[in-house]
Amino acid sequence: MSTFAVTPSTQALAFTAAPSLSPSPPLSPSPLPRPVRALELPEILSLIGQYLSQRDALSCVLVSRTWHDSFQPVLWGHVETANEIPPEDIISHARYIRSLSLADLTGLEKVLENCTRLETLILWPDAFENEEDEEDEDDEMEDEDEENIVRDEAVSQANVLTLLSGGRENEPQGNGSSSNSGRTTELSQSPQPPPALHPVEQQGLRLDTTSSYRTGNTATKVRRDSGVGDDTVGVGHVHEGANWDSLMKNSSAITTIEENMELLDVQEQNPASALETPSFNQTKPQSQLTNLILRNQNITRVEVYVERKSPG
Amino acid sequence: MPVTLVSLDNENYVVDKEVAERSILIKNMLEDVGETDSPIPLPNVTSTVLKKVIEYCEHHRNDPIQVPDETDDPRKRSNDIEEWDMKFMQVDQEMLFEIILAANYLDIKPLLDVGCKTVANIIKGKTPEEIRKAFNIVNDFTPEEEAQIRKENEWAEDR
Repeated sequence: MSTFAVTPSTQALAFTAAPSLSPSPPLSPSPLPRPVRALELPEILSLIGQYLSQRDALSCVLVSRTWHDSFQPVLWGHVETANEIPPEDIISHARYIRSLSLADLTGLEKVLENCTRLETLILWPDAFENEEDEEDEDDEMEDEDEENIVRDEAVSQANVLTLLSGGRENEPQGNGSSSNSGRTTELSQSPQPPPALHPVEQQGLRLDTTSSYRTGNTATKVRRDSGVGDDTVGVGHVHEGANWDSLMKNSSAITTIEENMELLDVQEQNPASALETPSFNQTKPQSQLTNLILRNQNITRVEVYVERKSPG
Repeated sequence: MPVTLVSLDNENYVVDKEVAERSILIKNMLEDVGETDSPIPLPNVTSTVLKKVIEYCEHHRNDPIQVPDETDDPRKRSNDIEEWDMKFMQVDQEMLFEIILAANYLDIKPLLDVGCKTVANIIKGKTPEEIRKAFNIVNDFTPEEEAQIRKENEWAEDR
């Protein structure tokens, strides 16, 4: 058994920890060790990375091993064209990904399981296209109705997100973390007529419906982006039963959401607005969305875009 | 009250406390120790660099304390360097990196930011080979590794 020699080290610690303005200065201007180069320090490189585009970060990861390790997080921090990248490549870089944009939900589960630091998930309408369009009425598919379809999708997706945020009324608005321009929409507000949407191809078109809810301790932000200034799409009143906290605890959370969706559907029949009644027959995409949000607790923001076009 | 800073090569620099306190390291030190006449040794900074850093701190002595910007854009801009800082940063590369290291050590965030922006501006638009040349960096990848990295990052090429 060795004796526990605490005393000397403790004294040494106490001695060095005492604030002193005159630590022994270097006795002689001794030859410095090989000067540390700023561009070999990961912390400096990652600061520089903040100012680089992904394209420039791509050049940087090819410079040297040190640079590779430092700039990978910049390159992979925000992945916009996730559907064009082989899933295995995404998975092997998943730990860097903080923001992910998808046009297709296929294979999402495996990818998202690995994206442990994911904060923002962006879904383009194409992600819902297959499921939704099949059940939409045929005449909605005609070209002249494109705007309506878009709006319809916007509304139904807004409601998906609204449902997820149900029961929030009795909680403080948890948007302290957000400085988005997005306007926060009270969930209890009556449906409003949606603003006229501009042509779909107009990029940057956004209407914000922002709502937030909490998952455990994590304030989670769900944001709808589609364009038009500060206007909001109509958001249906959410039935009191859709309490998020109870959903979180409830193993049949998804079923509950779907049930409430029907309630919402009924309410949506009434409003005296120009809104077309959104269709809630399809529960598959909503379930997937719910699932992945339940799984990735770090997600603080989900954006669903109205434009049908995927980026790029 | 003036404060005396001592460089690695034992040069003394007497500066106003408010100038010295641009360095969070020194600020914390002074707070820990209280009023003191003792010179503050900065064994990581040479006199040429310390002179330069003091020049920066003198110029920015009245700047408000920097608050982290809460902009939505995760990519920060590097083209917003103010004119005085731009001129201040027109030094040879060795000095540029020395300033960055000193700013990092002394914890002078705005100076560190300006330094990193300056480096970022040098990097922008360059190929990997051009970057290596600009900073005298040795390519330590094997050709296979390089090809592999290119392949898995292909998607970023049109970013």
